Amino acid sequence: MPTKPETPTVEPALVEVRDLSVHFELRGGTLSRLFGRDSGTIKAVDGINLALRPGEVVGLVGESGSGKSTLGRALLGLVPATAGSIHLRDQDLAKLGRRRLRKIRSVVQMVFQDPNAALNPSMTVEEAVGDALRVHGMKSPKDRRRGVVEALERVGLSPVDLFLNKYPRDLSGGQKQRVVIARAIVLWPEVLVADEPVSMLDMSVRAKILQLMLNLKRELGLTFVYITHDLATAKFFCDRIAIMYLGKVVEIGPTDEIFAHPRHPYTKALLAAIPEPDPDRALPRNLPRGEIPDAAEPPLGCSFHPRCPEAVASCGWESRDLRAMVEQHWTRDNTSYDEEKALIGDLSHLDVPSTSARIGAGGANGVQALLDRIRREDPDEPLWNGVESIEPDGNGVTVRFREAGSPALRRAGDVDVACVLYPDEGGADTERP
Amino acid sequence: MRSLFANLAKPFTQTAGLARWMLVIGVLLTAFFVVCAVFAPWLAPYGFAQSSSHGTPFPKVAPPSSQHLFGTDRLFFDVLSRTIWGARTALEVVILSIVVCVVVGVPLGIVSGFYGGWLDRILVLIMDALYAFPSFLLAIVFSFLLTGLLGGTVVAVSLSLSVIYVPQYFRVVRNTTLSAKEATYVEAARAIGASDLAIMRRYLFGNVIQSVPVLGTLNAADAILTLAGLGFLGLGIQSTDAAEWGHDLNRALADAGGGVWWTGLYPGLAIVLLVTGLTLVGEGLNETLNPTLRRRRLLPVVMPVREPTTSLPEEQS
Amino acid sequence: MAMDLTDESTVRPPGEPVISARDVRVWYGTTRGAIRAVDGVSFDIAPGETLGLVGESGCGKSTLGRGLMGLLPAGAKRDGEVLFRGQDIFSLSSKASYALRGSELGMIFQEPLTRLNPLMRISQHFEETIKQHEPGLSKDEIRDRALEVLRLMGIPPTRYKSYPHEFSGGMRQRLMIALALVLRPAFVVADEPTTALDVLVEAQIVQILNDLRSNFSTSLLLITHNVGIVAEACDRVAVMYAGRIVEQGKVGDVFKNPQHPYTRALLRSTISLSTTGLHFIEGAPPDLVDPPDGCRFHPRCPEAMNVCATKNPVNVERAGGGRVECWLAGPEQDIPTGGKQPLKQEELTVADEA
Repeated sequence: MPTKPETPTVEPALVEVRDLSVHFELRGGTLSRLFGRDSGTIKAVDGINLALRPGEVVGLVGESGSGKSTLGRALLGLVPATAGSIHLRDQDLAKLGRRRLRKIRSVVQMVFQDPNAALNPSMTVEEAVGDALRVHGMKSPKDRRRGVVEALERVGLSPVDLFLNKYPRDLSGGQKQRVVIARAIVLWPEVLVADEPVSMLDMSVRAKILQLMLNLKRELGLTFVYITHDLATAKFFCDRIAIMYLGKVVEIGPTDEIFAHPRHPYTKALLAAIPEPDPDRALPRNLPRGEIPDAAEPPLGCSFHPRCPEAVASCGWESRDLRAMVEQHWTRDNTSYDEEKALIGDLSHLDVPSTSARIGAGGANGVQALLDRIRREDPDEPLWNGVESIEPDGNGVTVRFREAGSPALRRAGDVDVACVLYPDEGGADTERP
Repeated sequence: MRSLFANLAKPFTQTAGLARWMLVIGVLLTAFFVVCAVFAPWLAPYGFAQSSSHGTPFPKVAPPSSQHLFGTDRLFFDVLSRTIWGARTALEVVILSIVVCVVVGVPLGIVSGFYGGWLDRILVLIMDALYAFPSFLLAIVFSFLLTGLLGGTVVAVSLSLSVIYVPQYFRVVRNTTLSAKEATYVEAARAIGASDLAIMRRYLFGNVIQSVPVLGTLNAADAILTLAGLGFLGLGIQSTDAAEWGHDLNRALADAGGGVWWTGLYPGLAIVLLVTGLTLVGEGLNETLNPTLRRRRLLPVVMPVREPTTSLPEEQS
Repeated sequence: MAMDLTDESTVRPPGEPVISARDVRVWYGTTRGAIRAVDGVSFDIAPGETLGLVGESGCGKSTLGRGLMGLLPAGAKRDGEVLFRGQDIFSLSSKASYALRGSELGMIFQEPLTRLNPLMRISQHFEETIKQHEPGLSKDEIRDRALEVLRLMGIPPTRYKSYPHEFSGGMRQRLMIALALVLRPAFVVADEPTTALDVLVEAQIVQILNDLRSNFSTSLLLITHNVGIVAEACDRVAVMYAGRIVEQGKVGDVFKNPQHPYTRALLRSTISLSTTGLHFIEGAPPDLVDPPDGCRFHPRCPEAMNVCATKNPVNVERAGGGRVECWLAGPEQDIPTGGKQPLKQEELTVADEA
């Protein structure tokens, strides 16, 4: 394994994730199964490498479908790993049986997103927090109470007697989240996976809970995995940040570096899009277009390329991008929509991903002219860089794109980024244990 | 203790109008019969199979009189006593059968909903099959089977009633479990390392049984009718084993032709009243416990008169 | 460039507000008493202006939005006066307000999927909406109108015959906005339009809402808890707390010189990229069935004075334009002697936390 020359003594990782994949099978309708059609797989987590050092806070930042929540749950064994390994010290969590996994859950714990849903409505605070102890063998209610009281005091729910007999419906959002945290720490875990712990709380309370987590990290020596879509809180909380998109890590590095010099276009977009309460700041204009694609059929090549403002030739252009471009043309100018539609014909066959796409129904020359017109309208459209050839084909044309693979993580300065814009500085897998 | 009373009183305090009246009337009716059942030995003037008193046999098919307030029937039994003792029988049978239903149906429902897979499919198949049969027919069949095995006792009849109703509890609890197990707090329970049994007992059980009380009362009403029906056909409990309204009605049929009304009226009336009472309780509870149906007693909003503020200066953007 | 979809009749003489709300109250009936969700709110919105209504959960902003549209649940009572182009929409018959809704007053909801009929194609949604209010149009005219407004929202005409579930979240919200705007209403209420969306899509939608003013000349009431969006997309802002608007004015001014302690605290506790420290507001919003005497914010206010606990603050003009409701801003003559002394407060603990 390549080593960085100037690294001082590196502590062994507490948790090491290698090539982890979590795939979900889509159960297609009975009809499609009857006809033998593949129902599809969602690669929620697709080949992730991650190492958690003791005491650090690693942020997993991404939007919906990025796989961050699934990765968090995989760390606890709540979802089964399809491939790869998760080593907690010397045990591979991905291979443990259910009984052994349950024991692990005193070492790795989770804080959930929605405080209203994460607590059993028919259990009091004492019962809810004490159940963690009970489940791991503490039989005496008196001992359990002692543990519960200590946990509640640590999360700031004092005077404790006020809260022990309350039900979740009697508590406010912030108080409930404290109970959730208390339940997570009552077993004195080493790793805490916090899945969007403050996103459902009001702004005025968020800071309190974040401060609480920071204090607990210091007092209890916890290692955190902080999952969020909000880069602003991640900046505050995390030592290292991994930006995720459609199941892969697209950029990972120290927090300061990510914010000071974002490299991946997606990271740059996320940073630009954060709403700032500063009216002098103009609205970001160069935002990525489109939306997060369907996870069952991710884009070819780099998953972000259809939206990327800095895409180049080798990003993995394909038929669906062609469709998007033609439709984009019609949102710019639909004066001759009817004629052009007749010329182009039906576009739905372009939804089957392929590097070779045939479009057109009204004559090859007419279709070529239309494509030229579209190109003239927007010559900066990156798709054209990826076109290898456009050949007449019967009533239409066949557009061929360059083949491209999905970019792997490579080193660029202090961070690892998965983008062809950054040449491989040499060195294969980059997550150092 | 206080909270227990508060919870019991909730159906009354939180409903209004029709729902509340239904509940109140239903509870009163049912309570009346419960009192009859519990205090039968003291309330009934004679035993349920008593055909004589102090050596004097009772008259046969005698109209109501001061000694026999509801008259007597062809077997020399006092109709009033038979009616009162009948309440005891009815309630015994029904309570036993509902208890069996709950004890069998609820855990099966939770386990089936939680694990899914082949266990779930088999159980659902069995339960659906039972449910698909016409219930009365099923009751008759099982009544034959079980009285053959256990004799014409309360237990045998209760069990044959249970068979008809178990699928409903199973179904309701299973369906609620299916959705409840997706809740975040169940995932949280897994995250803290709770075993499947612990999850089912502490996290699912309390949250999936809300429909059971309503189901229980409505089933009880239906069970009384089915029991009476079985008795009417001469199945199940025999006259000398216990007083049973349906059975008495059977004998009253022949009397009706001869202008004898008292042997049929009173047991019949008892059935109608008890079934109505239980149904009203069930529907009233449904209105309370089912949040979608519940129409809360909203206090009318009274706003103090508005004092107009000085009008705002126009803002230019 | 952008087609101006307003016609002459919607352009009012400059200076006259499109919406003029005075002393709006919306109280909900409950088993305990009346919840004073909105308790005396007044504001104006000029034509083509966007007013951001910002506040935390429970402050009454959504209720106000629904109250303006007349979409309140049973048991709610509203009071006050809302002049829409000189006409009081609160005193209209239900038939008249039904006619107004959709054609003059539009609404954009938070979760688009629940507001669109899954069994109807987009084309049918548009046809139904347009036919409701303009029955004379031919099918082709309807189609042209719909396609044009969809185009402005970035939805290509090839999707006109699709069903709602075939769209992604952001596209659905654009669809919602298109449906709300197709009849060119003069006033639109947007209730947390981006809360359910991802960050990048949220930015796209904010851009669209921003462009509404130039493209459609529509006045917009943007209800949100996200202070950052208000800064980016609104001309003026109204900060709401416990059913009242505590401060309102031009966005730049209120954000740079907040004068109400709650506004200050809210801005400080917002975590953004430039945040250097974690700040929060102690305590929790008050019980709206029985709000505290005097200023509703006083139990949590670090600058509370004696008068704040006894007398309701007066709505005064603030420095820099706009209004503020706080004794710190006067009027001096209404404060009794000793009223300016700092209030002795009970310390707020976690038990009082929001």
